[in-house]
Amino acid sequence: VAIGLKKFLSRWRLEKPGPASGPAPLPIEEETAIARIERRIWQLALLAVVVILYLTLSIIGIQLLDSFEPVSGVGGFREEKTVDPLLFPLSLGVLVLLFSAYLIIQQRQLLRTTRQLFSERQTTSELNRSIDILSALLEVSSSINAQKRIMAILTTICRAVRQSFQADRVSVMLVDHSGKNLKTMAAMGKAEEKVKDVFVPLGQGVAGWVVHHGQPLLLQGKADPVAFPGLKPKHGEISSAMCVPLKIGQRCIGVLNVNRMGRHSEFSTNDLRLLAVFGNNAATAINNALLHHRRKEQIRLKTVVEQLHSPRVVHELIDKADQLVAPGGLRERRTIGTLFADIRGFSEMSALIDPEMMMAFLDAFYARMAQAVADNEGTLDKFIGDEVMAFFGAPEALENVSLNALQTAIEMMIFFGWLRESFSLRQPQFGHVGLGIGINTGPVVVGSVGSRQRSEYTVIGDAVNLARRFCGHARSGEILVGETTCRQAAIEKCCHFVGEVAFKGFSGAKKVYRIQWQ
Amino acid sequence: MTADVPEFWGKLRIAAPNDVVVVRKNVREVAVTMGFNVVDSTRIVTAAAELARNIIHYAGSGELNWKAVEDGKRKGLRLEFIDQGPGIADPSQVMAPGYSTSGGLGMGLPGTKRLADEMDLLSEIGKGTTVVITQWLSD
Repeated sequence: VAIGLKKFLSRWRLEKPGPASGPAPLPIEEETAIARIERRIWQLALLAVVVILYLTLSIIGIQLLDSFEPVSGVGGFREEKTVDPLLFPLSLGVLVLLFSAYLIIQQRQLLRTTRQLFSERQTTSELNRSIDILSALLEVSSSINAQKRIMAILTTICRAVRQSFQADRVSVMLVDHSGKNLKTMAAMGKAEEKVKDVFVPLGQGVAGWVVHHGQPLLLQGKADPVAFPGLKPKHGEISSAMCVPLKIGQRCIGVLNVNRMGRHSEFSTNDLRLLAVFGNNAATAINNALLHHRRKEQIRLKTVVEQLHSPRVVHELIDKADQLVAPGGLRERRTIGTLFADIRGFSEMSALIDPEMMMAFLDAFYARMAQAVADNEGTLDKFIGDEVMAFFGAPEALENVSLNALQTAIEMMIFFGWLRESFSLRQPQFGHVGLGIGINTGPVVVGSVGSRQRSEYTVIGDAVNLARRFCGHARSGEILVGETTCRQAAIEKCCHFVGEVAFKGFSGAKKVYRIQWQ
Repeated sequence: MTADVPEFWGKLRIAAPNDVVVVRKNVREVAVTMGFNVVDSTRIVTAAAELARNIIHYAGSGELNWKAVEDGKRKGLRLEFIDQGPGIADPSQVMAPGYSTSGGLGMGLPGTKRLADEMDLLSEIGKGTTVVITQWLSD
């Protein structure tokens, strides 16, 4: 009877919410408490059934006894009984039955209330956990906002997320410079070394999908390769995964991946919401660090470049940096003033002077020549041994490229005179060196030449070659220029016509002018 | 300074490396406007840049005053570089080629003197230095 009743009651008892649709199953202690109440209900129900059986049997027994009892009394009349002896036990049975029914109803209400209480306690517990996670993450957010080093920030993020969400692996992927790929910048947890330096094209795989759609994603079990094209095989079995975008406004700079591996415990939608909130803060910190790093790098490069170019040219170089370094980038035809300066008597002197002194002289020479170019808004192309090449009019356009080149040449001559005098005080042999300068103005192709690994921003053309020929033709202390330079600079008073000279590689003689600069 | 060339005067603060660019630009504009040819204007611009760099290097900051001057028949440009730096103990020593307290060429002041037609140096230890250079317009 008890087994049958239990089966019956199991169908009849209060419905429990299923694990798939509602909150997670209750803890064992609370399940035990509920089971105890349910057992009490079964016991009361059993008692009630027993009482019902007792009453039924009692009533049947009374009826049977009544049918077999002989008729007594005068004239065949039955003797009337004043009190039935079974009335008391029957009444007691009815009372017990009613009391059992009352207790069953009460126990059912108690069961319902207990379930509600436990459910609310569970909700409160989850809420507290969420608050704990959020507090921990916000604390991390404020600390990473104070940090400047990008790798330190990423490591802090990975550690905090891994601890807060009890994850097995956390990784941060950022969009690379090309803007076409995601690269794993930091990872922590199981098989972390295998996910480092991984490249994922945008739009492919789970991370690519998240960047493309800008939406957080929660996955239970294995990801579907059909839903996520380009999905790569994962290291370890991921049982539950969250991936949230790192967004600055509408721009996505990367993703934050959080995985649980080989476990039954799954991330909830609540976890995903918390991670998304943290992701927004983390994105700001990462972006600030990236900007800080970029700014520092720009300042460093600017400092280096400012030693070689004028501030206006430096500004232009920074603006067009990407185009300038790419082979074939920013290639154009322009009228440029090209200057070559070459030390006369340098080779002969090298044999007589110790190398340290020569190096010191060359250091001072390069510094002063670079200064002259920069001060006159030119671009220092290269140093070739004891020769300097510079050009004027690119990347920044100048009003009069010939005039700027000429002013540079005069300053170079002045500085070289100072150099020679200063060094000849220590080594008289320096008194024999001189400087010859050639300038020519004409159309050239200006741009980056070379490979992606190494390229230089330079000028190429006949006008450049002719400037070099003028330089080769100049004697110590001479500045030789072509006809175009002389005319454009409007310096006829300072120009002395040397003659027409035939240079190797050029058809016809070229007019050569000497600048009276002293 | 004469009354007929009042526009040729001005003042500039020198405190940062970029101020050298401003000094060069202003001095060149004034020189060209006054009629100096490319060689002479480049010489005075080179001298001005050297003195401005000296102020930044040795004194930290200072100023440049420029004005047009006239000496009977000639017109010229005068530049005054004034700083409140540590001053120079022996001005004659720094005017000698090769003397340097910073490991440089030691040609800044002697070289500048050769570039300009006239140069005067006044200095007092602890109070500062004033260098005045003048370039005369050639006929």
